[in-house]
Amino acid sequence: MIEHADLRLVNIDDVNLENREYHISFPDENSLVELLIDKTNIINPVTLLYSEPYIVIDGFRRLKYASRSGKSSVPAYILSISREEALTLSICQNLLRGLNLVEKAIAVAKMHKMGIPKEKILNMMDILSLGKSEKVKDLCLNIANEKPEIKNYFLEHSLSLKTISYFFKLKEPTRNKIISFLLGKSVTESSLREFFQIAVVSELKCGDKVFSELDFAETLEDAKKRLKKKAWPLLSDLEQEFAKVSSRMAFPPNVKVRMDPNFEKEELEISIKVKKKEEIELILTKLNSAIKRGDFDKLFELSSGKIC
Amino acid sequence: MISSSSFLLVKFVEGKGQIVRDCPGTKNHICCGYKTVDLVEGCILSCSYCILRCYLNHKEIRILKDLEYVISQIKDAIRKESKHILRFGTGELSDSLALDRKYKLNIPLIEIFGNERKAIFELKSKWASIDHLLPFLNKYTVVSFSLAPQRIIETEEKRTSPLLKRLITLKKAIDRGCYVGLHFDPIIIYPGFEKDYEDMVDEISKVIDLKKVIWVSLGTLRFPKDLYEVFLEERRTNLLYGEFIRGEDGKYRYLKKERVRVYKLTYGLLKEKEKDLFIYLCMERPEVWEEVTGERLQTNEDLITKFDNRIKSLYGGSI
Repeated sequence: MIEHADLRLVNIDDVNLENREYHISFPDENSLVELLIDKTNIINPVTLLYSEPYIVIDGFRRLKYASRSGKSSVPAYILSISREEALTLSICQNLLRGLNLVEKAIAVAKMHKMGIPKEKILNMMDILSLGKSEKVKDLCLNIANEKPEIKNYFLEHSLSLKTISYFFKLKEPTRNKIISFLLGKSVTESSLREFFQIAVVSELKCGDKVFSELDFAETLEDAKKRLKKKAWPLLSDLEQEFAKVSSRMAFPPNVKVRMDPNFEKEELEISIKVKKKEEIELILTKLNSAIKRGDFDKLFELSSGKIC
Repeated sequence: MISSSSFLLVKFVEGKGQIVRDCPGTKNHICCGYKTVDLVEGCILSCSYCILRCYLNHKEIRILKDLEYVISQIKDAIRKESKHILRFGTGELSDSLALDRKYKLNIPLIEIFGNERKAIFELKSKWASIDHLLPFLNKYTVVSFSLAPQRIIETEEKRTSPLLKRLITLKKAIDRGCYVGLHFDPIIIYPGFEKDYEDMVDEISKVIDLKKVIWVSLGTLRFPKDLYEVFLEERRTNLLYGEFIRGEDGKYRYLKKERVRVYKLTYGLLKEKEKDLFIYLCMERPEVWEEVTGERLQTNEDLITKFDNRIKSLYGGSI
């Protein structure tokens, strides 16, 4: 229990800046912190654990920047509390400014590493809006242990835990290969999630060699197609065949021929939008030609399940 | 989500509501009109692909303590049915035999069906233990086993009986005058499954008399989305090897073309051994039925009638 703490000026040299036991901020640098100190010349008091030298509980970035910018002392609260209390305090104080997903994961990982009982960790996860799940806890440990560039990638693309969970179903070399491929590519969260799902199954079915396909892929869509072709060859062939027949039929844009993307239902959906009678005549001619050429027979065959 | 080894505690519960139900079936798929008897919920066998891992929201195994309650529902269903010969089974939400040696749940049911002589009671299992039932068995009870190549038993059905033991147990039931059922369900596509199934059918035909097999079901692996996530998590390479699509019921199943290939293969292997075998597809589309068997089934009624005819042909006027 922390009852009160005195505010005092502490010499930066008396603080161990290498001890990161309670440090949960990510990324390390924060330009806003630096800007505020530069512009106002005011440093909000940091929180230190009483020890020789002191250990930082909260204010790591402020202290680092103060040290870099030549300051010799900072205002600080010195607390004499247990390690577990110090970590909880660090998490709570940082929570007030809003923690990103990686920081939440780091907080969970630090609690785990400190040997804090599972129930307490799950309760804290609940406070952090992570839910009380063992699986999410394991995922947090994975995130916290990842390389900074991968953590950054998660943050830059605001990936959800669900999407990240697929990423961690991949083996480490595959994860690295995928991140190298993704860097600089335009992606959305949903397209990334689908890509990770495809990658997981591809790795399971075809091994990690399949990811050499990424060397030839230019876009995420292209990469998805290439992996699908390897892991779902039959489905890819059906899709390709459907695309081929559709292109041969060459209907105008106001005629759409759709079939079940899973090739399960034996039916075609044909929709026509017209404004003039002449358009109907033209479309009927085209439909007739397609029938005569056997294009529709071919499409029905795709969903029949027949083995050629 | 229930882990593959979570069912530990056995709890006896009061019977509430409908215990005897129609198999739920699936839209646009042909269902055989089976009656499920939910006498036990949960299973100790913990097969990796088992739908119960997602379906049940409790971890304990629940056994109904009031057997009379169940029996009255069974009798009621038989009494109300005038058109078809009903088939009942306890293997939907549990394994019919896994706990039976200890709890002796099946004996009264076997006796009821033997006395009624109007319907079939199927014990569907992967647990080869029927010695305690042998003195009570009668021809209105069908002992059935789900069969899979030993390779799959060792990786995905780790707590179940080996294939040979299942077959020897089926032979014991045949020797007691029972008909037996074979369920090739789920058939899993993995590298080399074709040869394994060929070997398995060979082994079956060597151990049991196929003329005593009342029915064989063929069903390919299918599962809900939650289970797909579990397979990914557990890196189940056998289970994820084939090409899956989401069916109309939202369940994952193999691409239709693959299902047809698998069914044709197993159907052919079985028919080669015994041309008169009654083989049906579990929860399949009419066009798949036609492609595999050449039969045009359009509705559930068509299949149920086939079952009626099969039973009549074996039992004659005794049912």
